[in-house]
Amino acid sequence: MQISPMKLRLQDGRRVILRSAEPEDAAADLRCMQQAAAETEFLLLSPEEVSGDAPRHAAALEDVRDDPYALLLVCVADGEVVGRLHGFIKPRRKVCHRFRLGLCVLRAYWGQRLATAMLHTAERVAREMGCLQMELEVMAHNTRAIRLYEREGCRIAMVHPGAVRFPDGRVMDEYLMIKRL
Amino acid sequence: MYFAPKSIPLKDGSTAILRSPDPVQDAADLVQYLHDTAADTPFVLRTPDEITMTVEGEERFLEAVVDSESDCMILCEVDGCIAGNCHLSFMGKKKVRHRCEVAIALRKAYWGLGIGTAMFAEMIRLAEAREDVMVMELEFIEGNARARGLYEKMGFRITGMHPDAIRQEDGTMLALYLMQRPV
Repeated sequence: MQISPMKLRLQDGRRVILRSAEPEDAAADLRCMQQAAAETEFLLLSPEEVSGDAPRHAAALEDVRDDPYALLLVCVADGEVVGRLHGFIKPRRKVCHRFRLGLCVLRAYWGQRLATAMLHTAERVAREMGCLQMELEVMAHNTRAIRLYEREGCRIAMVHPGAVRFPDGRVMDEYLMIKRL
Repeated sequence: MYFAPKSIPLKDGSTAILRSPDPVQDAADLVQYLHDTAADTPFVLRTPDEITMTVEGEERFLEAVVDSESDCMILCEVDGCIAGNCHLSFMGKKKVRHRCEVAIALRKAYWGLGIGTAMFAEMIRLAEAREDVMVMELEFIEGNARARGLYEKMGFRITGMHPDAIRQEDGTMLALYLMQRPV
């Protein structure tokens, strides 16, 4: 699924384009994922698990672009992907009312409302698809993200006990958050 | 993952075989089986008309499962018919590698014979053999008391409720319950 590009101006004057990911973004998108995974422990993906295979990722981005049930938004600054949101529905009658998403923003761009802009765009797409709720999962100690999602109308709907285990053995709960549309 | 065949006695005196699927031999029967089990109960995620895979597609899927390091499917065969199946998935990413997910289905005609219990015993054994696995997880749709009874008997407990996860034809919503079992 594709959206029309939007221009965002950050508080410090920098310009960012919010648009659908294109196959040409593959290398930059992988760099963004790798960096985001390294900057915090809040993503399920570990940095070393991000594939370095750009051609293969380009094919995946093409699939997402052409998939009416999937959305991949990127925030692009100076040719680099600095934030991304992946959303999708399962096209089955019993569960297609749930728009599921995950997002990340690089640390250098925190506090600039990029996540909010991507969430708003995703919500518009979800509504157009006829979805009744948006759903996301967040680690219980990611308080900054939880606050943001709550501000945007998401509520903790379920605790998934011990969903995450870090390499040092710490076990962490994950929250399912839902926003009714 | 390959599962070495095993015979188990059933409560009615007949014998079931638990085994890996044979992609070429079983694909067509499995498509029919998925269709039939979706029609048997409302407690599966797909409606019968959403079972749209082709026999060739199912064959490729089964090949991938049998070759996989992370997934194990076990078929239960009784008198040459697929009575049920179960699927165990070990998670790939490091931060969730301590979890595995299980799913199980059984044709209605074979309910109550001990097949579910036998399949769970095998999946628990496979999970216990994995050093990094600490918990088994499954989900069931609100109202599926029969399945819940089996899961509780096998040591699973409800640890979460996903509200409004399932939308029925008439628009009413059901929850998905998360169950976990320590390994």
